[in-house]
Amino acid sequence: MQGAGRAHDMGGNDLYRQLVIRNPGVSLTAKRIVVIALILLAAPAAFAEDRAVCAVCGPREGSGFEPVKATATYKGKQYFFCSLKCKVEFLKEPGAFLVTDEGSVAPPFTLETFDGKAISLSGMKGKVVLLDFWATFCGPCMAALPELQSLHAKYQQRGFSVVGVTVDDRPALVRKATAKAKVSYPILQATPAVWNGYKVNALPALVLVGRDGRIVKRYGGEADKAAMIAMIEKALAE
Amino acid sequence: MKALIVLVALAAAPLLAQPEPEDCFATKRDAVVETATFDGKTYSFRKSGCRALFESDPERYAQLFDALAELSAAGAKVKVAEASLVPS
Repeated sequence: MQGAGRAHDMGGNDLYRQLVIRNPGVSLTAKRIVVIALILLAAPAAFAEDRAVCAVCGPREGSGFEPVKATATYKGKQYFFCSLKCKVEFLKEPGAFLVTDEGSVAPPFTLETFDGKAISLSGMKGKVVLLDFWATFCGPCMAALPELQSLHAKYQQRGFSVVGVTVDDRPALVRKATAKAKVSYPILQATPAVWNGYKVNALPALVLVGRDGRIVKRYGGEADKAAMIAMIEKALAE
Repeated sequence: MKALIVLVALAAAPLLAQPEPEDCFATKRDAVVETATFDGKTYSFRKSGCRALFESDPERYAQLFDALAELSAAGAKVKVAEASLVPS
């Protein structure tokens, strides 16, 4: 539902660009008709999207980022929400938000760094990759940056890499944060398709991908660092 | 005999069904049917079965009912239609 909603919405935007913005010759009335039709077409999808991204503080298309409005603790971990209603939805059924897809193939992606360099997951096959979905407005994500950098530096020679995937669309803040934490691993700009593919519905979200390209472990909220290191060691040994 | 079992099951079904948290949440105007205490705070419910729901995971439900109280205080409808669950 989530992915379909976004795809529909993005399709509408593309159609709008093609039909309205790029056709100055089209009359104003015709443009208005197209806009109204697109709004009517997109409404159910947008609605579905809002429901689906309920627990997401970061990735909501259009706004770029959303401030944390509420937090909740569940089974010893803290989760962050963009509205109180999101928190209510999460607490009603946490299992629906905490995805377990360990063992399945990690969704492939090609994303760009803020410098325009394309990096794909398939290009890292044979490596153990820790994907860090993060944003500068997410406190625990920011706190984790130096720790992730030290993990990256420690295990890099053994075929390990941290890959930051930021849902933040403010390059200046991302650059400042990564410079401060002396991050040397790649920082990629997330797209809705990628965060939907990885079912990211709360920040921070860490996904450990094994050498075979399968998801080894997913960490939500504040991860248990010792357990994560043990899992990285295990994945590197395989 | 089978008919009797079916009748008993039908009669017991509403008692066994877990209420929704929004149905449990008691505003100041609602009659309190049950209460539960967690971390020194008392939570009031307007339906039977709500205490059992709360006590199944008190840490989680305490946060949930606190959030519902906050929403209610802010003027939001706690028991809302599916459509209006869309986060603002």
